[in-house]
Amino acid sequence: MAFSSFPFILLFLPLAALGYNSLRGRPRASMLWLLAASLGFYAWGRPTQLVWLVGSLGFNHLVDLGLDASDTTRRKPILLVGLVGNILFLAALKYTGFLLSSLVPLWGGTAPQINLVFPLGVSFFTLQQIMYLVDRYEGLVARNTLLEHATFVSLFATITSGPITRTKLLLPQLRTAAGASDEQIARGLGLFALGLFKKIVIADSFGQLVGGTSTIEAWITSFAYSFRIYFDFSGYSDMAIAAGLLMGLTIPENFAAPYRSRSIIEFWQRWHITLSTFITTYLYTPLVRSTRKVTLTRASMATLTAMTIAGLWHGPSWTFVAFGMFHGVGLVINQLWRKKVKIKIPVFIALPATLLFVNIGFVLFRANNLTEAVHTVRHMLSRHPTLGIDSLRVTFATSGQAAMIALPVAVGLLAALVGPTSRQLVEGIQPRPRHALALVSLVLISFVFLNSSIAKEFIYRAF
Amino acid sequence: MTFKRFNILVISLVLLATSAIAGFGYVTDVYGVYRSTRGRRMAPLQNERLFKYLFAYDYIPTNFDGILVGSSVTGNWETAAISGHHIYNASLTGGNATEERAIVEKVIQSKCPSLVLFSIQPYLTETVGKKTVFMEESQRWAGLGSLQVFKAYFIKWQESRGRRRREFSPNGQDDYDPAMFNRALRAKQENTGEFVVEPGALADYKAMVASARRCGAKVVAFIPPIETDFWDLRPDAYHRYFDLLRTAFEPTEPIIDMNGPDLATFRADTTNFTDGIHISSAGAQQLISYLERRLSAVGLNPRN
Repeated sequence: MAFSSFPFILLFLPLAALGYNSLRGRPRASMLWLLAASLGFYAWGRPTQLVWLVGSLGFNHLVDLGLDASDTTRRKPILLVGLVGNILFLAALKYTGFLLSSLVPLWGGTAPQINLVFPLGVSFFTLQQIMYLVDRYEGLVARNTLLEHATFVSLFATITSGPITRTKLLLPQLRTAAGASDEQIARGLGLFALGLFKKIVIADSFGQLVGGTSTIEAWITSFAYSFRIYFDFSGYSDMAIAAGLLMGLTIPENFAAPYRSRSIIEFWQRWHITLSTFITTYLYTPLVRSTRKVTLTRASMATLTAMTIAGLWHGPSWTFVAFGMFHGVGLVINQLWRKKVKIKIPVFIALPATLLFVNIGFVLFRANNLTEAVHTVRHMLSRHPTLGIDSLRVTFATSGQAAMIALPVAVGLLAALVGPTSRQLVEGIQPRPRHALALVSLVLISFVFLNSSIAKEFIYRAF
Repeated sequence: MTFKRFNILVISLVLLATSAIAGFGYVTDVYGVYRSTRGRRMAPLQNERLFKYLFAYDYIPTNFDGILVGSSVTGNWETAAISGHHIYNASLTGGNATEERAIVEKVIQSKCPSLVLFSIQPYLTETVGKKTVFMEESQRWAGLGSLQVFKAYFIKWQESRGRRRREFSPNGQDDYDPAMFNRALRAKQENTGEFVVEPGALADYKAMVASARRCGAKVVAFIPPIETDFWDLRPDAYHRYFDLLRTAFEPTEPIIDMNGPDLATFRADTTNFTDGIHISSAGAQQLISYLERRLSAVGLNPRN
């Protein structure tokens, strides 16, 4: 069930939130309700995938119990078993075909075709459990009960695509079961409306801008994708955070106007923030710590390695590896520039340069394979034919909705580059009629677009 | 105002406005999918793929006993002129066999038509697959409030105020402006090579004919006329293509060829065509009369 679907908006979410809030002050009952709702949400349409989630929960709970051992010499091997188990679980479900097709030809064989449909949100809920085990090992969190662990990991608001949430943030809230205040509900409604609008109206309108053979069309298509993925994923994240707010749960921010970044380092502080936090805390820092002496070269190597792994985490394809490496190289150059060159780049250069870099990165991200990515970049750099938007015009003519797409695209560009962020907008919500009208308008416009055949699946749902 | 009142106001307004929009869509029912269409005269308001596909649910099976299958070549043929039958012109501009099959089979699901007229025309089998997202089951909900339906309201309003020419008739005829078929299309007719036949499209064409036959409809095929000058550029290619398409029909099923000697004068007159294959309005009227006569000749016109 997608957040941007009528069954979720009109039925599931109101019921889940009402039920949860009506059980305020009763943690066990409210967690049972939330767990039942989340498992129902997860099983919707594909009940069999529940087996993988339940299996993963069971395994991690056993490891969790093992980490209680008083003998500290046993704790590290148990953590390792947990980490390796989670990584193997993710690799087996998501990367088997990729690994075989990449490795078998090296020995002259032909890889068998394996097209496993991996369970929804497997990358996200596996990461959350890795984070939990590491935090447990380091004594940052106390042991969860199975109910707590299952409720936290399978929380419907975050299970499909994050935001990747740490136990120490969410679990105390679940244990309190305070429910949502009227103000939280108002902000939740506002944020959900904004997220829905960003996804359905803006992102999916950018999604219509594809195709073409001229240089300008290649650039338009690539930038349209960069803006689409931003509004798609940040819209999703807003809806996830809003779903939490409607139950009085605070879920961390995932985006903070990333296309206004002046460097790649800043971009990753503003883009998919919870993944960046994970990479920094659970990949980069241990990698750096593992070296005897921290040098710029070793830190750079750690950055490259961490970003390559983060790229691969997105999916079983060399394009994602290349995406991660590309950003890794960008971060390394950025770090070197800061430490060695130390020349401050003016904003009017830094801002477009960063956006351009990010845009090229998304060409890799979007392509089906590396050949296609190279082909697209060549297209963007070719001089002939430079102009002409005939193919884009054809796309518009076929959809017959040029004017209806042009306006959301313009709004999206303004919002991404100069407008207030979702957070700023939602913090400004006051119980005034004009604010109510604005929210209602956002919802109605989104509903109309949602029912108009231009709505697409969330991009990150595939990860 | 407290936050509690604010929340109640927002939720109430959303529910009220959504119900109002959906209710208006239900009552106006421009696609004919919510209320009975018996006796209603419904014309597509642009987006003919969406309209004709949704009309196939109820409007066509309820109000017509025949269907004309084709592309834009037959789009401007006014089937109301064929006496003895109520034939809906399901031709689509740029349409292919996959799209026509979707319409024909949807009509058959509701009621088997007594007659289906299949045009044999290379464009129908040149591409495979639907060229739009609008010919899907989910579109039935679009009438309750969508960009498509709002656009349709707007066009209807413009038509009612005389600010827009009515392009489609309630029989599905598309009174298109011949100028829309530009030089590029004329240049395409000057090609002297073989016709491209997409295997999937040919399969869709055959399946569509078989569906009509299976449900008990009388199946009649016809080959629209080609302007003589263009025909002469590749007569063998035309013959080979028509022979290939004939395999979709059984020997007992009539195939009316409009490229024979009795329409030689028509085909030689360039004013009857706009680009070699698309027929001018005057030409289309003549062809409908001709088709009616030929249908009578094979005993398919009850009046005769």
